[in-house]
Amino acid sequence: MMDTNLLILEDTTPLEVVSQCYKWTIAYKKRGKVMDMNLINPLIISFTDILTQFGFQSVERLDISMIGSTLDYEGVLVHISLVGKLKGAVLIGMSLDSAKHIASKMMMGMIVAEFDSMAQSAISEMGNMVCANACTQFSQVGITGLDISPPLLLMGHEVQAILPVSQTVAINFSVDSLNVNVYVGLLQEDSQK
Amino acid sequence: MSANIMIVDDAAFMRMMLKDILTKNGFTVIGEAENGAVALKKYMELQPDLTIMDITMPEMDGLQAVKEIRKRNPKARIIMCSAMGQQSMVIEAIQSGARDFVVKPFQAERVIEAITKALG
Repeated sequence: MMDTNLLILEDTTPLEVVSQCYKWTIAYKKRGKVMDMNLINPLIISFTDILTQFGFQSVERLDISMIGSTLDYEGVLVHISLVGKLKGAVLIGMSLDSAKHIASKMMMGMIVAEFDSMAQSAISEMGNMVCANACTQFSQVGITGLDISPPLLLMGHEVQAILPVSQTVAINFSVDSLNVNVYVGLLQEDSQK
Repeated sequence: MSANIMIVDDAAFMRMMLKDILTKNGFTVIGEAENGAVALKKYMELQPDLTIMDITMPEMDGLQAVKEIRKRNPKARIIMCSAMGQQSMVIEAIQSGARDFVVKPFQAERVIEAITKALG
């Protein structure tokens, strides 16, 4: 069933994605899970918008899949917590090389040979901007008063992260051919009881 | 236009970007702070003409720092510079005494425009 599914949504329209998200939501509610899949849309819009503003030519959403609360990663992971009517975490993961490329773009093309403290700060700030912009998107659909934590940057090799929610949506993006994953694990306040 | 400016942001990357924009446009960066508590201390010490302030920061956030600085100097010129562009956040910042609100990511022209207006 859904816990092990990897749903490939390539070549789908936004309407089809929304439709699929509704189906997931209904299926999860029936099984006592409460994450509303529509919560991923502001993150998709925000990530695409922010990365485009950094000067990337192509920010393309590829797959969307469901994972459990355990996340295996390799490279760099930015973690931001959301608090307010929505609670949970958003994580953005990428390889070390992808992180260097993105940091370089953010620093107006400066060469980033090492993932040093300035490059780490740039990637953290990227996470901050994506999540803060998503909060603005949420406020436009009535989910107001959200706040975010300062970003936490994790780096490692074959690392496992345990997220504070039982289900997480993984959204895979291609950013000028760089592979970046956005993990969204959010619960609405009234659905946590 | 020349003025002494303090930059407050927990991200070293953002402080570097802002400093670059400001110095290229003839402003002097007289101080930097990585959170609201440090900003408050440095503000009293440096008395900048203008402060650029982030919101989401550890220890003391930017909104609290604006309130604390304005308690000590009601004429303090502060511009918020944050990715948290929700209407409620902008209103709270302005009500706390900020002169303008620049949403990240920003264009250099927008930052200079906000500074020029606040100093004018």
